[in-house]
Amino acid sequence: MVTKILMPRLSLAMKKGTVIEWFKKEGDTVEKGEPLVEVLTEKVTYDIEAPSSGVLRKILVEVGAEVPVAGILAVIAAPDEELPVLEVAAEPSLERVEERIIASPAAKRLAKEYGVDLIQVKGTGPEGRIVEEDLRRYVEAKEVAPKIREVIPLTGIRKTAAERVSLSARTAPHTTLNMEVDMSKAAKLREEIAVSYTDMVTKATAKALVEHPIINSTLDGAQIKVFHDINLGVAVATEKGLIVPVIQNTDSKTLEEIASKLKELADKARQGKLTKDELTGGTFTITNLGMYGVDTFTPIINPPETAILGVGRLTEKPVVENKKIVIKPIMNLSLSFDHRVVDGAPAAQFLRKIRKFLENPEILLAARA
Amino acid sequence: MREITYRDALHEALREEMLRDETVFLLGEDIGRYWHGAFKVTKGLAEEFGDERVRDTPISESAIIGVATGAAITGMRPVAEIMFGDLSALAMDQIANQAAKLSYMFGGQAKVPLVIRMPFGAGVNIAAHHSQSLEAWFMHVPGLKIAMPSTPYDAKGLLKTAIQDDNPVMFFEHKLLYAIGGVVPEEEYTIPFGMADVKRDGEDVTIVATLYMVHQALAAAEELDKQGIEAEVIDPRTLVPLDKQAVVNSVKKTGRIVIVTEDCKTAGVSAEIAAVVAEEALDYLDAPIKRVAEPDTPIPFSPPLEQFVIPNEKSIIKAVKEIVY
Repeated sequence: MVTKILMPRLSLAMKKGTVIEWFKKEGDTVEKGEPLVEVLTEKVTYDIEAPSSGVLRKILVEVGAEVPVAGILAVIAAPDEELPVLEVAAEPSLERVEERIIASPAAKRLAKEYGVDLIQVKGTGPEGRIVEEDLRRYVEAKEVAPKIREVIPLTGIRKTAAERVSLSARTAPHTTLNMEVDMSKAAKLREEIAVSYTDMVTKATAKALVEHPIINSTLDGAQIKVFHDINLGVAVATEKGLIVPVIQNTDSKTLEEIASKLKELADKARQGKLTKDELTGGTFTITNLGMYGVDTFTPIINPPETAILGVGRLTEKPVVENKKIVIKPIMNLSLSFDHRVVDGAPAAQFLRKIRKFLENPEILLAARA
Repeated sequence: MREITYRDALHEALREEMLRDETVFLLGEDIGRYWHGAFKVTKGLAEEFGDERVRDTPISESAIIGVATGAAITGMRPVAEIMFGDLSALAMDQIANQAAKLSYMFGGQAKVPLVIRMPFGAGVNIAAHHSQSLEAWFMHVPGLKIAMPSTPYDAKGLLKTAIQDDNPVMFFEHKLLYAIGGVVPEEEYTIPFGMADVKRDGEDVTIVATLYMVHQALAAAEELDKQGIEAEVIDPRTLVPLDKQAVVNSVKKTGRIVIVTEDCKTAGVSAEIAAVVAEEALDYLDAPIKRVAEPDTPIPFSPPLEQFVIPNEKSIIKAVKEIVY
């Protein structure tokens, strides 16, 4: 049996389509239902499936060619069957444009609701009438349309992260404050002693928390519990996912101690060697995306904590100082906080304190808190 | 609960209303102590309430309704019986031009609390003059209400409401229903007009049926259920006022409707209900509206021909299957 593959009409307005890719070549054996050729219209790409099994005897149009609706694309037939004379259609065939689509009022209503073009729906009612059931079937089939390349089970760190961020986003009303910090002095300090910006941000945050204890807290039912300890977690990206090692009593450590501790924890995190003590007990979290070129972002609070500090990238920026434009290294800080625990003003004061310490880093050099 | 016949349910309604309100009285041909009516609904009432309140009349339907209408506007609550509904044609001027209009003509100063009880319908081999279903005639006259009970429960509840109503009510009974039984509580109850009853729940198709056809529709639904089609059977119970919302809601659920009535198809009650669905639920229809009604012919006397023209379980199933696919 000779079966012609024709350019389908995929929307009411469609007059022609373009061949994007042939999945089979002439002489290939094809099974009914196998994808044969991908075509493109103004709106969508569409895989035409083989309407019957046989051999793809002849391809009449090359990739990139435009073909009118109902124009012939290829022929499937038995291996030695005689083929009829085949000609590529030149003008859009208007044959089907005039054809009235028969659909029940209920089907039409649903088509409108779902934004479905009825020409794409196959009718199973009397004389091919499209009925409600056809619409429902079509819409359901559409919903599963995106093809799945692989399935990744949600396990381990990913699963924990998924649960925790959704818990946080669901329960804590997040507000994020952004603030620019002049890192001129910090940059100088970094050249003098072996500390990173993250080390300085960590020290500055711990020091600010000492003065703003309400941020170092958790909401537990009807009570806000303010922590005694200041244990900063610093998010580390690893191959397996995001891990947040914790520096116990961060406030009591010197900048240098924090620097070496952070390096140690980050190395351990990447090697998967962190102990339980090094992963728990956090009271506040710092997350840094600056090294990825991110300016600002809205971090999600690490529950059950009250706030999280996001660190953006450091860039040279023109700023106005004493009525003159000068170039300065500027860094963005983003503080997300749980608005149930604190309001915007105290949170802003806390953030401003961190900025003050970073803009005057000599304060961070004082031995302890 | 107690089960009684449709006939006894009507009898109970009449008796209770006569006990409750002494302005209620009955009149009609042979309804008194000598014959108790052609279908024995008034049995014992003349004996209990006297010949003044259960009045035998001459054979003149026009006189019966004329007298009843006059009594109604002067403060009585007459319940007239027309022996066969077909003979209401003889009283049509009194019904359509007097009873239905007086309240309007007098700007609401006159009330016409009149009930006209009439047996209708085919199926008992009494030919063209005694077998018609004429609900569409009365539905076309503004000012008349129409009740059509299909069960003993509905018969009693609707008749009591009809008697208590201040407007003329055409009360349709069916010859084949008098003997059927059904649950009727002993406690006082009435059924408001304009409230349809879902006689059977279903998801696939709505069947609206009236009077005796409700039973044919229920039998069809039972058979369809065995074949995997769930039909919802709705009995409007009163045609005026008509519970449009119940029909529309059901069509919104099922997307399909078959209307079954015993009157002629042309300009019949089914046409009116179909129009309501087309006007108010078109976008929910998933198939054409189907009507099962009598062909436009007088009811034949020949029993096989009579059975041929009356809608039945089979013709309802056929209609359902034409639109459930």
